[in-house]
Amino acid sequence: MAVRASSKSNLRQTAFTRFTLIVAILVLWMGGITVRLVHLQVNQHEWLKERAIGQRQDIKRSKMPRGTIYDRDERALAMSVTVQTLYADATRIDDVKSAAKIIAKVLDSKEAAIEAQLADAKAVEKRFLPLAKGLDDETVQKINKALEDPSIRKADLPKFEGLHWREDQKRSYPYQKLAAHIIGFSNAEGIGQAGIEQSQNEILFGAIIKKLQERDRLGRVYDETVSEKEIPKDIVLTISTSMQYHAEQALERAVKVSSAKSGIAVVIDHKNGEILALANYPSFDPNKLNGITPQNLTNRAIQSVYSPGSAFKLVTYGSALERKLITPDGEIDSGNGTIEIAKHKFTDSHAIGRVSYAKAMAHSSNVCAIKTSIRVGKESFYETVKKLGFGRPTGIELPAETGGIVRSPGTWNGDSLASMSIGYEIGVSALQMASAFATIANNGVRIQPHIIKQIRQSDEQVVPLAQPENTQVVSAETARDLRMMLKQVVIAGTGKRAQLNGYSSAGKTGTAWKFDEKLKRVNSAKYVSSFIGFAPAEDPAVTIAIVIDEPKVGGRDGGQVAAPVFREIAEQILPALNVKPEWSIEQEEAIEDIPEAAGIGNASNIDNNNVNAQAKPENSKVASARPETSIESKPESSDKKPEKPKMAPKEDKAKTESSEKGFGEAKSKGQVKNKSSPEIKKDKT
Amino acid sequence: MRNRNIPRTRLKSPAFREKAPLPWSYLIVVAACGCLLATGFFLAARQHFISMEFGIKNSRLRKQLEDLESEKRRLILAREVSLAPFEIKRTARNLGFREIVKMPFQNVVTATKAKAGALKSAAEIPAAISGKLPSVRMSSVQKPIRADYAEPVKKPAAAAKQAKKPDGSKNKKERIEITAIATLR
Repeated sequence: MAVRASSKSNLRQTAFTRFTLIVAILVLWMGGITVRLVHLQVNQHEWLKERAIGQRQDIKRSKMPRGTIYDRDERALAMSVTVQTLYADATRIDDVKSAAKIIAKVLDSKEAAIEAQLADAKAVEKRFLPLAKGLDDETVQKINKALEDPSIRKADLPKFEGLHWREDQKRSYPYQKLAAHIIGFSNAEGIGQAGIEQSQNEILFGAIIKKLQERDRLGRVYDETVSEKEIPKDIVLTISTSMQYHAEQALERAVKVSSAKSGIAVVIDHKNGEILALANYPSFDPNKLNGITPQNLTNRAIQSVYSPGSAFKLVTYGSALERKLITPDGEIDSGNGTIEIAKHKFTDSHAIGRVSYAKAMAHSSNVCAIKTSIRVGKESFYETVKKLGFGRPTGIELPAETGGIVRSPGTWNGDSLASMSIGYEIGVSALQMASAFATIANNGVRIQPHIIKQIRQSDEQVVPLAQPENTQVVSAETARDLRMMLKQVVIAGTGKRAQLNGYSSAGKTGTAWKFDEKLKRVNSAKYVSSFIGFAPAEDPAVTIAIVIDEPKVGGRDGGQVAAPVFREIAEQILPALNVKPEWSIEQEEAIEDIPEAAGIGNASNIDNNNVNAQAKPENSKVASARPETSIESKPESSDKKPEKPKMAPKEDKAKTESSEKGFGEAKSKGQVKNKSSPEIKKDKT
Repeated sequence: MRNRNIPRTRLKSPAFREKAPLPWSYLIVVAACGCLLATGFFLAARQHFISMEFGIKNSRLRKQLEDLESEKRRLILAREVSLAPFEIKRTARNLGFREIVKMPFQNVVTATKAKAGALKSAAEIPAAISGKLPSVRMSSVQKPIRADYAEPVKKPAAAAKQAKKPDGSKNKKERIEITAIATLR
């Protein structure tokens, strides 16, 4: 019994010893692991973490495509496309020489230069060395194929150690020069530098997005986190590509034919204030900015001011009509075609005697306009000028718009009112003039001109825009009278060349001497010729302003240089706007049979036409349906001198210099006295 | 009286333990739990790798989508480039078309004269051409021939003279050309 008990006790002892040994080994093993883990997780924590993230995560920065600019017909005017940049991570290239040899061969560039670049980058541990930029997909594929190294295990292309692709954006302007001043351009960083690109940069800007990619051991991306950024919006403009093209072509031809310095054309849909075309010449191609001069870049339609000349008589007669001081049929005596205001003599190109206000405007009489402005008075005239939007920017969504130059009555000289009534001593932009005429065309309601029709998000949702300002500037009656007077300008006045085929038109010519910086006075050899009008005359659909700067060859006044451009643009644009012709060609031919006795050019006939125009609109169509007859019957009108305020020869040079200063030029105090001539007083009474 | 309480020392004794059998139910439960755990780990691992696969596929599709988007942009741009007037003009020139040269503005003739001239020119149009293009004929007949800008050096008198000039062979040719231009327009 005792032996059995003893053997049992030994067995237990052995088992216990073995158990203890195993436990001890396990404890040691686990202890070792614990120590190692503590070492790794405490001492080498940062290094290991970085290494793990580096192996697993990849941060890629790319740029969202900049927003697209469309025209009103959804034609893309400016668009960004993705291009690739091949860059080298120099720290990953071991053999610089052999790498440079292969890269140079693929990129067709100099091996030595690439080798030097790589060596320099490697020395400073540069991880981004661009080797080729702006490559399209086709080129990228060719390069990938050429650089493929089967021994390289890499998930991304190119399969070449140390070389990578980076996505970039390239801005393209498919219509090249078309509407270049409106669209503008952006720089290499995707920041707008001119035009809509600049003014709407925040909306169009393609932000840099950060993509956090999780990769497996083979480098394949299995998870991606994109940092949230607002997606750029697209902008739809009010301009029409086809209308813009017509306007630009017509303007370019006119500038070239007249050897002018530059030209401007503005086309406005006055019913809603939308700009249908805004052309400048000379222009530029936003795709090729090398060698561009500031002259080419200037958007003269909104950034330059000029003296409007006789086109500003619209404001003069408008303010008088609004205050019921005159009627279109009322008569005014222009006397001998000369008037003296504050020792400054203003003359007409030809004396027209006692005529109706409509004829006075048609013939662009300076004397009549000055007399009318004196009846209106300084304050009232200034009020109308301001109401029509002069002296402040129109608010169009384009950068660097000028407000023009309009001095307050307190700073005016004795002859300032007279000068301003005929479009001197005032600086306006072409857009302001177009807007003023558009107001008259729109029954006296001024709608703020604008060029952005829509702003769209990426999901096609439209961002609500503020409604353009809508102001009744003059009464509908005044606007109608003015339209009728402007129609006479085209039928029987200085704007005959603006007569359209199939449509009636109305407008006003303007020719102004330019201020010469060198001479410090206006230069009678330099003109700004303009024609601003609308069509059809009765129910206008479109307002067009044409300004030609310094025409040198041929006729120089607005009726000769600018009116044909108006006609060309209007004749092409009106059918595009679905405006039905007011009369057919057959009717036109039938009218030709009417004897010349009822023609245009005779003073008494003009007034008859004027009356007829009011009483029977169809008769006015008859009258305006004879452009060719009127032009040919009085060809000498082409050689007519510009309708300018002329200094009498007896005026001394000093007076000439001081009184013929351009706008914004303060005159000497000695000449500020406002001495109305007896003739004016007579007229006023 | 029988003592029902079993002493603890007796239970702990090896002899007693050797005799005590392992309960099968207990073993089955442990095995089931083990299997469940192993299956759970296995399924979790499988899910993980499947999700990885999906992630990779998703990433590829996203890349494909981006590529297609940029390709779409490129195609839109290419279309716009080809539709641009300057490009059309260049292509037309390459195809041998000639640009229309507008007549000077001062060559404006009266509608009556234009009508007469145009009627003559219409008569000169070969019957084959005029038959094919009735609308062209109409427009050329009805529209007065005129153009846009003043030729600077030309005097109005000269222009009037030109308008009155009887139709010579040169004029006939010009009118036919104008009719052809009208066709193109």
